Amino acid sequence: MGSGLTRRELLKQAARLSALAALGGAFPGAGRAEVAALDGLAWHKAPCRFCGTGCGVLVGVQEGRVVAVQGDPENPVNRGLLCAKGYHVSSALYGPDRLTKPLVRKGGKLVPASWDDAISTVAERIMRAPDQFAFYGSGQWTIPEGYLAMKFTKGGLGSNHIDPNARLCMASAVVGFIKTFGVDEPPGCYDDLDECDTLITWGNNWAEMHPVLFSRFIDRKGPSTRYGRPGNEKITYVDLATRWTRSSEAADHYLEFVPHTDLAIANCICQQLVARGAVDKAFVDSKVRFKADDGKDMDFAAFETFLQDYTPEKVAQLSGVPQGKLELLGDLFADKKRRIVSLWCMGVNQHTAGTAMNNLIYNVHLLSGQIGKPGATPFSLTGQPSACGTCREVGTLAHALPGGRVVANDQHRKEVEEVWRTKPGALNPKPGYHTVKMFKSFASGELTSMWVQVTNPAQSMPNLHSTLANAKDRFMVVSDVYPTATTKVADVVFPSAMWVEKNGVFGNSERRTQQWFKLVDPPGQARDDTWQIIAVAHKLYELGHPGFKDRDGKFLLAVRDDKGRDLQVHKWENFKKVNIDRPVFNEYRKLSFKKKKDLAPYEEYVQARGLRWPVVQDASGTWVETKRRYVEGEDPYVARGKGIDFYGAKAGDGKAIAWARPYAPPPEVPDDKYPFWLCTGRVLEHWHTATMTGRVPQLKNAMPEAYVEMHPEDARRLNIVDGAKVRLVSRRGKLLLRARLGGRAVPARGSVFVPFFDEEKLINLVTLDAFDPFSKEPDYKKCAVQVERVTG
Amino acid sequence: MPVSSMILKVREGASEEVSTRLRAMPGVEVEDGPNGQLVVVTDTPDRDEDKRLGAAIDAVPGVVSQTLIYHNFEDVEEESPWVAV
Repeated sequence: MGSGLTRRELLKQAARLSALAALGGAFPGAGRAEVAALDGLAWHKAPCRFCGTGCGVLVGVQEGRVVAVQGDPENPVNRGLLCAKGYHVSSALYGPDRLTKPLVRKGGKLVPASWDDAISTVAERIMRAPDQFAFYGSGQWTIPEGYLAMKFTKGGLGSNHIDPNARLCMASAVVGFIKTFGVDEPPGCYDDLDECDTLITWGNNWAEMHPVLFSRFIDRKGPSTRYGRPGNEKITYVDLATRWTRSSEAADHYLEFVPHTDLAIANCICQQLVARGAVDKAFVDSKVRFKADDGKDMDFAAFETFLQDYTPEKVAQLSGVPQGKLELLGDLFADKKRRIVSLWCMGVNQHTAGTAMNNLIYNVHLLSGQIGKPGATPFSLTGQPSACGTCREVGTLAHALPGGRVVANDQHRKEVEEVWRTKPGALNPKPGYHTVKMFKSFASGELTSMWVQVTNPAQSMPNLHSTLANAKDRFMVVSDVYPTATTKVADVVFPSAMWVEKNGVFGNSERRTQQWFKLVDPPGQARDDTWQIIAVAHKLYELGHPGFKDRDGKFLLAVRDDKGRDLQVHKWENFKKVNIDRPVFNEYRKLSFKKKKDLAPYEEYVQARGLRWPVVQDASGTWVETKRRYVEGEDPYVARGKGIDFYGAKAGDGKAIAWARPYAPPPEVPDDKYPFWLCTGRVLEHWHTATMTGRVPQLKNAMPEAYVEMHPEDARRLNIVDGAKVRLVSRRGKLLLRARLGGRAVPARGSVFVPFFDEEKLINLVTLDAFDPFSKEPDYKKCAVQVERVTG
Repeated sequence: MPVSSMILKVREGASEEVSTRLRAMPGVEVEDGPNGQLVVVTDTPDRDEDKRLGAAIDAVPGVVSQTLIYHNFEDVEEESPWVAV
């Protein structure tokens, strides 16, 4: 270091320069190369491991170890910014209790075993009853992992019992998209947050759950009455919610509604558009069709009649939102000059009418024409880093096949059988069990073995008691990086590599596919989930399971090089020498074109900071991403002169469908015995069930245990003070918690909020497992509970 | 000994007062960015202190939001039970 500066001084300069780079063009010369020149680290790109935003992280590596992270200034998602979770993302690799050896249950105890033994144990058990096996994964599966798990289950075993935990968070969003647009995933993108002048959040605390997107938007906003801000643009932000949060604090209008009445509020906006003559008639006539709740076609006049029940006057009574505030929503959507973004996530999806609620938000945007223009879009956020890329695009769901295909369609199965080269007819046309049914069948004994990867269902499944009570004689394999509530009940535990300990590809909320390379070795004997799947598949092939032979009699999950040579990657020593993501992704890519979700070849993602599909090659050979779908000039599949073309429409008419979805009361409402609403959710410091964030001491210390948040007036009435012990009781279970008053959020009067990250305090013992009839997604946001003060 | 940097957004007109308070904290360096934003670099003995300082900075009156940018912990040993392959 000839500069004469100490190492610490150099690092401080690097830290300063990174911050200046993140501030943007004001400081030319502050770039990645300059930072690297100072700290001397090898910096590599990777998407963040945690949420569905898909921020770019630069990972600093020194002597085989991750030693630094910074927000990636070149990534268009976060432009160099990180939230608290991203900042500590690398620490999640280094928790002291990482799983480093395969474990097999012997004499009631999990004991270390060799990989060979563990793989054989699993394959032999599956072989005993292949039809009774189920694969349970997650939106944290990388695209190659999900693709191989699907090929293993649907191709190899000829079974459709594979479903992801994403069922619990975004299934309603998926079904909502398909019912309205014919195909899944958002038409808009994050750029719309930069271009809107009005933003509505529907039951979504994005200030804490998607903080980088929140800051991207809020930085533009001028000072409001409540919240001074450095931005200076005139923007209106309305927060529709059942709980006052940090997001509400930044809003111009906070509209608190009675749980479940969001359905009526959305219909009320449409009612006002019709009553005021503010429907975008030209757009609606050419681009929208109408259907009744039962699926029958209806005309616009009938739709108008349906809306008559939802006047602001009536909906104010039902929802508790003052009539004037409902009329404000009407004013905003009736104003043709506005550009409005609607955002939502779990509040709308984890809802017994979740699909309907997604449809209704689309209705509002379709009738007002707030779609397909910069800054005007309905936008469904996701919680997991690859819920979109893996669960939805690869299609790791009980009814789905890659690229928007479904198992029930003969042609779709045939196309997949061609690419996978299975024997003709190998794929099963009957949909498998969705998550809730999968766990019920596992409890009842209809399913007897299950493999769980990258998720923690023993904590996150609703109504846990009944799920696990009878499951003791079942066989459960769990691949994870840390001990969890689920590894405790496992028969075999596979230690996994995580994040930059392996190659990966994720797909985020805005259709952006992002690739990264393995940067460091996993600890101990931990190995990639893709290898685990291939190794068990190969053992089944050796044991003679016919499904694992392709139509030429060769191993179905073989990975081949460009010349078609089998790389024999079921052997670890071969696997670790190659990057199987490249051939696996390029094979999967062949299945991406059918529904116009075109992916580029793997190599393009190595270069890019992600590309938003459809990605199509232009005349010069450049691969070009799509910001806004269905829009002429942006989406290569919209012909010139079409303007907007909802080409996914099942009817083939290029029209989206507005559904007449009525409000009906939820399955459980507070009564004399259980007088409070209970809502559950996440907090900033922890991600989901905290198996990763709980290992980061800084995050754990900041938010050590779950609590119950109450409205101060309810607390006063029940004589409950901050920190007091409180028992929550529902018809299903009870839980002892400490009360939190005056914290960062305030639930509505008559409702309480409990976060679900704490494995010592499982709120899902209390929640309801009623689910949406279309998406089968459970409702974690509403049930009735009693709140008791516990003395002593 | 983590070295970190962050960007602070500060309530209009509060930039100078916030800077003064921050400069009084040990291990903190501050400089002005555009639109009243502040660039802060921290140098702390361990991760707990890094986190504690981060929280203290967030709590300074006038700080509206804190975005984290760079975090180097190359010489932090206490929580890296690194097992060689």
